[in-house]
Amino acid sequence: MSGAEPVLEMRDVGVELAPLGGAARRITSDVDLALHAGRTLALVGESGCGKSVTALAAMNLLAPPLRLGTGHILLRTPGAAPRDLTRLSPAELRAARGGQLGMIFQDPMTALDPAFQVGEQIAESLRAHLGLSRRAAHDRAVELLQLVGIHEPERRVRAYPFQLSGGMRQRVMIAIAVACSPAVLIADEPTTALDVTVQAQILELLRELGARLGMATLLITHDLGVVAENADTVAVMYRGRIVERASAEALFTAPAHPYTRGLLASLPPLDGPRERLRPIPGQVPPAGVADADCPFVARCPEAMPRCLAARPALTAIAPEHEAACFLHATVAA
Amino acid sequence: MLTYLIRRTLLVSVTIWGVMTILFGLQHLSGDPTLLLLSSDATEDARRTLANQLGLDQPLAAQYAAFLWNTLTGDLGLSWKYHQPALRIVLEALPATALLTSAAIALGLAVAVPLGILAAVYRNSWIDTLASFIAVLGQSMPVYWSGLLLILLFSTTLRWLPSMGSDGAVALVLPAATLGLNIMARIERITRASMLEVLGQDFVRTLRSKGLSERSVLFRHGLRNASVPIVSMVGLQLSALLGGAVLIETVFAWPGVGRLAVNAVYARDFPLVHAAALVVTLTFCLVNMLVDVLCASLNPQIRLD
Ligand SMILES: Nc1ncnc2c1ncn2[C@@H]1O[C@H](COP(=O)(O)OP(=O)(O)OP(=O)(O)O)[C@@H](O)[C@H]1O
Ligand SMILES: [Mg+2]
Repeated sequence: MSGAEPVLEMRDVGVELAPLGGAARRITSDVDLALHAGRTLALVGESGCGKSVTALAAMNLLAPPLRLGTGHILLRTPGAAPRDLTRLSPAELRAARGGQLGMIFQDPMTALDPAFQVGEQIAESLRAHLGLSRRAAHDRAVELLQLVGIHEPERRVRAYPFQLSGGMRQRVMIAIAVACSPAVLIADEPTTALDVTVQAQILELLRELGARLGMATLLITHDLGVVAENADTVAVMYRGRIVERASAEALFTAPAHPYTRGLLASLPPLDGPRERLRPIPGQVPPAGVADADCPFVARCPEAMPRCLAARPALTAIAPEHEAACFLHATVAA
Repeated sequence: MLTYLIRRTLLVSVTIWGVMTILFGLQHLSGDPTLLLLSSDATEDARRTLANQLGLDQPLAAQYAAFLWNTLTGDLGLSWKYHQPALRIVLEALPATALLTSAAIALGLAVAVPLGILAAVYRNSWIDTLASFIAVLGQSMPVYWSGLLLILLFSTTLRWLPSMGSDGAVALVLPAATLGLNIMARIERITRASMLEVLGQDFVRTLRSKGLSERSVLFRHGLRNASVPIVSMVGLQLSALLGGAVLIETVFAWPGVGRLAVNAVYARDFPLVHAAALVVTLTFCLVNMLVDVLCASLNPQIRLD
């Protein structure tokens, strides 16, 4: 894609669900994603397809029963050798999280510690990573609250999460994520839990911060409208696999995978109100990846016999455009 | 805060009034105390004189009014047995009970909280199993039984520690350990349950995504969020024990409020019983208020009113 090497690169990442005493089951497989400085990659797909576990894997933050089955996560920050997050010691990993990697979660109502003032929750990151004094960290927390557009930051810095609205809490969450000027920002549906007007403000803020801090951003969303306005490149996920990857422009003008086309067709009209994706007809897929056939075959309007016999691999169908579908196999060959 | 204090004071007054009224009623149901206080061959005259001295010849309503007034002014009369101000006797026994209680609670907390956290973090591991084994043991052994076992082992067999009395720090070890074992079990269970709940919450993932140390995640944030049930449990144990760990004080001949109160009941020394009840009720209310205030300061969403 762009000439420079990606800041964060996920290679062949597969997440497993390993319940206690049960057999491990793969829920994502062969996920390759590359995040570039100053650019936004959107990861889209239906509920349950594995977006959130991919985001957690990118931070190497999976906790039981989830675990990383395969793959590597390479972090390239200026002035340091590339590091594989899966090989770091716990201390090195902690330094990377919050330091070079910031994360925003979907639900700002539950993502903040209810027993601590929001300023303290920002400041403790600053103290842990930048070694700031208590005083300096507090002052910086006030600046950060200002940066994310919270009025009267000197007062709000002492507020507890339950004293703030959802939108304000998400701003606090963003302040925490960007506190140490990370190279990578991972935002897992940062606006899904907010009302529409607040959604637009938060996305605007993320765009602005991404540009100002030159962060490589992974934006996970249900909303193709959000993708169109915010993303440079898009990866479409279905049942734990990337089924199409392209620049945002190419994806919207020439969607290649029948699943992507279905997603776009289910979008409400542009002049209508924006809402959640309307489901594509067919059974909601079970969790977990399949290997024998195309994961989408049961719902695909263009399914062919060979789709049942083998699984199409993600292949280039045009410059900067890949899809995992036999419809395009002839084009590529 | 002010409304809380006013409400609480009212509640305490009503509680004390209720407790004292019940005691007053019991006293008058339990027969004529002068028969108990005098030898069986005392004359009817002597009995009347004593009844007059004690105010027992007054109408019941007058006695009740005088009794309430005396309670209010803290004058509960002389102990019938010791012939000293009853309240003073109880207050003199209070430090021994407080010492035993705080030692037991401190011991319990020091072991139970780390153990409960470990059991929650490594749930279903051998640490968790060991912790629940200790908890079941501590909770299911009655204190007079575990107390006797400890006496047998450390006093009788090994001769390391005295089995009774309150002389010096060594005498405190066995009773405090016996009580501590029992309290530890309860605190360990509630710490584990509370920590498990907290560690399953979303914000813990946020803390890890910030790259905080595990120590900070568990102790600073985890324990703080888990602390309200733990503090409430400690408060419960504390108020129960301050009322006198009767069994323990008896087994170890510890000169505390519990033993005093039980002996007073056996002797039908009503002024002493009343004084003990008053002190125990007051401590109970005070501990509960302290717990409330502490919980409110630990969890900003709890409001005192
Ligand atoms: N902690 C967990 N325990 C058990 N199953 C899990 C866990 N986390 C995720 N899963 C399963 O893994 C699959 C992928 O979940 P994930 O949360 O990544 O979906 P998602 O794409 O983020 O969906 P949504 O859009 O609803 O957030 C789902 O089927 C889910 O049931
Ligand atoms: Mg999700």
